[in-house]
Amino acid sequence: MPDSDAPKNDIAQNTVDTEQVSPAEATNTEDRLRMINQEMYKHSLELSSVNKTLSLLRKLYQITLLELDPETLGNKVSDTVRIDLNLEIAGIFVFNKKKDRLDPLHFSKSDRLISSLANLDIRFKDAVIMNASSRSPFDKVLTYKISSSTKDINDIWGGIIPAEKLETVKKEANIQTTMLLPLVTQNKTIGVLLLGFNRPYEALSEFEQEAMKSVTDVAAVALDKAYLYRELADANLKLEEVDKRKTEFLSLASHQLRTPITAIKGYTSMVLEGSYGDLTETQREPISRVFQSSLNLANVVEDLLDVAKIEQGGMKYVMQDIDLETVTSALHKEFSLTAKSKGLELQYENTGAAPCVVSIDPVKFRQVILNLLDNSIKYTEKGFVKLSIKKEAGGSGNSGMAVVSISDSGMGMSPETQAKLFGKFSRGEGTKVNAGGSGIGLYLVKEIVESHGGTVSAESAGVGKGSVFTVKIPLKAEAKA
Amino acid sequence: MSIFNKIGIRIIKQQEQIIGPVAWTEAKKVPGLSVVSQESGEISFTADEKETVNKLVSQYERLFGRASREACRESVQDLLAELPRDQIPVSLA
Repeated sequence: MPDSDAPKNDIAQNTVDTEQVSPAEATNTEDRLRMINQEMYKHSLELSSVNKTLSLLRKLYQITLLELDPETLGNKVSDTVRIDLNLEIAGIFVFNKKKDRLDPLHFSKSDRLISSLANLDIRFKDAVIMNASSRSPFDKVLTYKISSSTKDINDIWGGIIPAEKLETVKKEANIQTTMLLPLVTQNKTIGVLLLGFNRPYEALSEFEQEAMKSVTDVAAVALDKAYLYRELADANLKLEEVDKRKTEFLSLASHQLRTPITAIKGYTSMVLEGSYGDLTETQREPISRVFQSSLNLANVVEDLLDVAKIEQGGMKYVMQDIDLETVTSALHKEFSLTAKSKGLELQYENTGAAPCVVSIDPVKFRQVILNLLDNSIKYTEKGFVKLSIKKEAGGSGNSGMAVVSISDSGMGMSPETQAKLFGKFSRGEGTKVNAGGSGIGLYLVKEIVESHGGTVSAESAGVGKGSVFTVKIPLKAEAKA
Repeated sequence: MSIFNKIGIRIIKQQEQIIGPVAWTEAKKVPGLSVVSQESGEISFTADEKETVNKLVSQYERLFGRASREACRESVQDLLAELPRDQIPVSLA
């Protein structure tokens, strides 16, 4: 057929030609396809191995996230590793470097190993490895941080568990290889991971060998974290206990002090008033000092008792709806003379529309303002102290706040002092004035204000630049700004 | 469950991790092996167990080559360790 006759047929012919592959070509194509198939399988196999390792690591990672108790963590890590790696036994020893011993944390065992151990009355959990760093094969693991393997479990527990029993266990559970892997964190060996296989080391797959390395890293970090957490929890518990005892002691001591101080206060007051006859000026001076000191001491004791009550949850508040301005204006009058005697001006400012109604325990809240005012006067050598009260508008559904400020031109504070100012037994540092005080006044202020749903803060531009203490407390609904 | 049953299931599941559900399709083609439930991973043997395991391994090897035989062998090492040497299927030895 001439070429030009039928182009349509040419196309048909070409198509047929393509489909008609010679037997030789067909074999090559099949071979090529098989080769491609096999190459793809190899890639999938590698991926599968990586996936298995990642899956195991993900399980371990989840355990480490959820568990903080070392025993539970050891239990779950051992179980997961044993099941995923088809082991007879997986266990963790914790290394006590001081005593040079390996303490068993947990061992996960196959059913037949459990049965064998039960029959022979063996408990691996009780088998502590003494002189671990000089005992083969643990020495290499602990000293050089390298893994070690043995075909004989007698190398692990020999001398601790009778050899004939170990031989029986080895046979019944078919443990052919025992691997010991160091659990290392921060270049420190904290334990040993024990893995028991029912096959020779040479028969371990690439996945198993790779997984073992990854597992040790995760287990080491997890174990380290768990023990660290336990240490912190224990330390915290001890601190709480010490704090509780200290509070109990303070409470007891303060109660014991209160009665004699009251007697000293009462009798010196009576002596000063002339109940026991007239005093000479020479006598009056020291007696006045004794009286003033007993007043100060009584205040300290009362503060300590309040701290003890707060910490034991025994502080009771008798709440009343009250115009806060009545408290601040009364205190202004009360302290004006004290300030004046120091050459200070005690200013007062009320910028809010009266009344400023809040729900407070008036006695306790008076103590708060009194404490702050007393401090300001105490720590200000010249200039002014200003007590002010105002209302601050709140957002929607919020009644706003009553704001009481005590500012002064006194010695001020460094940022470091400000940061710890409201802590228990905290006192300003670097002060030149011996102003006295127990260091718990501001702690009490904070506790009382917060118990009223309010806040207290302190600001200072620095040492020698004065201070501003601000107390905010929620207004009653009807007293909106 | 017999050790061969465990070996068969382990092999199919290992292949499933590599090639997906086709591992079960291929297992169903093996004479002497019956898939009871793919979902719960149950199989049974209707012929000689050792020989059927050999055929199962060969089925995968025919399609995916020598690497698949290695994968089968590695996946059942712990189970093979439980068998007397003369009982180990030649494809896994």
